[in-house]
Amino acid sequence: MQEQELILDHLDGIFRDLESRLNGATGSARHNFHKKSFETLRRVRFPDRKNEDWKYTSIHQLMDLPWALAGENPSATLPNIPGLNSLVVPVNNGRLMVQDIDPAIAEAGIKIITHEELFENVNWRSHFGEQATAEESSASRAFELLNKAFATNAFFIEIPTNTRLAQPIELRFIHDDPVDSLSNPCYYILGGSGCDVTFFERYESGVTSANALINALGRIYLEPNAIVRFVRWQELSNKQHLVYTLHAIQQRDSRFEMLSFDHGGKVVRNTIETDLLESNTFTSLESGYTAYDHQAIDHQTIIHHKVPHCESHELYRGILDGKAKAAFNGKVFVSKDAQKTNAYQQNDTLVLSPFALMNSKPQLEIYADDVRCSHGATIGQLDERSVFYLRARGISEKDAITMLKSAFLDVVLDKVKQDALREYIHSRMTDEL
Amino acid sequence: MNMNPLLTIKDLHVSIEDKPILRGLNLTVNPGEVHAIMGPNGSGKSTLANVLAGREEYVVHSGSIQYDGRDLFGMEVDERALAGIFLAFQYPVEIPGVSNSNFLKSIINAHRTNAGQPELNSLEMLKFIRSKMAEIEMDESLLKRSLNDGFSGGEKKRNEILQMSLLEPRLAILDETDSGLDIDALRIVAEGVNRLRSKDRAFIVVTHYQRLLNHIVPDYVHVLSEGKIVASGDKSLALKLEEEGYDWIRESSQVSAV
Repeated sequence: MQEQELILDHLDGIFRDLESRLNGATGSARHNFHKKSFETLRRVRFPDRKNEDWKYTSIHQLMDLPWALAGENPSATLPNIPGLNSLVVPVNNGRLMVQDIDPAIAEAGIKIITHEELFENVNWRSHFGEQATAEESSASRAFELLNKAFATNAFFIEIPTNTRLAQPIELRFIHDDPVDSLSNPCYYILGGSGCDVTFFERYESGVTSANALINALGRIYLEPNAIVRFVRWQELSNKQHLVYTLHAIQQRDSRFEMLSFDHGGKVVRNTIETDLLESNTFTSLESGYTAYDHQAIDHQTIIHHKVPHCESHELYRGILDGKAKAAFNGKVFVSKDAQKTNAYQQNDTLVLSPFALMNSKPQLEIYADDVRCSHGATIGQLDERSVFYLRARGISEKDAITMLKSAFLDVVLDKVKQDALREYIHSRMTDEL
Repeated sequence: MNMNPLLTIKDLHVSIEDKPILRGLNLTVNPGEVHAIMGPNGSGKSTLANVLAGREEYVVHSGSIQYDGRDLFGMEVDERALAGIFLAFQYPVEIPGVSNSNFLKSIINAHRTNAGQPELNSLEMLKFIRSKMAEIEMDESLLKRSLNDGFSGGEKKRNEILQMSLLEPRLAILDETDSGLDIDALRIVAEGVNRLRSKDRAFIVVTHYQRLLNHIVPDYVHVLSEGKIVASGDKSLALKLEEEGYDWIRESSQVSAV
């Protein structure tokens, strides 16, 4: 594809420019990491329309950007969520704002290791080193490779054993650049054995209105008995694309919970992959999202049940209107040895306009014979009988419809434990309903 | 009679999916009255209830309905509710995600706002709802649940009566509220209705069975057959129906609308 060649050549120029500014670090582990990732990307190239995993994402729209790396913008900021009292880790245009990290994080014994020290860090190397440097030779992983080639500001959050933190740690990703640009935020989290922490992962745009691609990559490792909860909130502008990839690895008795809410962006592609390495783990991936006008959103989930006695839950609920397009592809792989697996998947979509489009694709591959696995998908309009019931009690038609749409999302939103956060997301998402 | 009727239905013809259901129904309801509508399955009882509430699937071909001096067909569903018409549904809808307490707050405040009254604050609201729940012996845990979601048949019907008690309608239509209720639940539902009986308020009680009318004693009983009222009388008519069934009605087909 001609277009791909142009983009890869263009990226090549950017990469060389990046290398020229390494300032003595040429040949370092860091440099080799970026270089190898970029070379692999050149080889595997970006996915095209024939790639099954990318069938429903408009790769053309993602590629149609005058890609330049986003500049620094240390002053970009977002208001705090009223009443949430989170511990903020600000990341502006892909750059960790080290000096602005809430000091309470360090006081709680949590370490944040910057990119410069990453490759020398023993814990990072033992938990992520192999995975991070492994050859990913598939075009499906092109955006991960793109991130690894250019993420020169990755950081590593190390949660020590038995850390229990009541306040959520807010990973605040802002993209605010006056020119069209690409940013590659990247983080690693190690949830130490017995920890119990909540992250609030937030993607919002700043004040600028330029086109952008935010290509985010997260890696989480849960040690035995660790609990890591995520509330993810995305409200980018209608000129910003997001490619979001999260990979969680779980050791025995650990618990990973993701509550994800998307309410913005132009083309959004969310991939969450979990590897259940040891028994008795619990994983839940739940999402509420909206897409209006010409927005496109594609959810990919991949759960690898490799060992017995693990449980996974997936619930994805979306509201589509206008000419929005959305997709859900839920892959669940249950290996031969993964007996007594419980895996449940459900995808419900409200399609409110005749021009909106939903593709729902459950994909369960089960090789064990003693498991409980289920999947379901519903796609439909608002229930007329429910609208009538509410109106027959004196609620206006407009309010009844808003109430029902809101209720559709609340099934997921009600699981957010932080009142301030739940109310914030609720008000943002129901504002335009 | 010098008082104005609350509801006047004249020669009402209604069909659903091209099938005629009501064929020339006449009924007048004055404030303070309780009218029971009885009749065999398919006679049009529920259609009448739903047409009054404003359900759109029903096509009105001719006839008129005046409610409190207004043309009912000119009023939207929610407008009718705010004007005091309440339908206790035969099959209340389950709405997951809408909490029962939020729903009750919304409908109370919608009615208060419409009446030019200030909204109730959370504390006043809770007190008000709790007092009405206690009257009908309804478990408070049902407030936290989603609206009717997973409620038993009896719990759903009680929730309808709760809404009626909270909204204090001028014209309440009970669409087979007694069906599927055990004798205790029936008593509680009936007490809920009787508590609301007043000289300003009217009830239309649609039922298949006479036993509800032992608890809610009607002023008039009408028999609906093939879309028309074919017999009207006092409470003794219900007893006669219970003993003799509907066959004699079909045979004699006497019209004596009130």
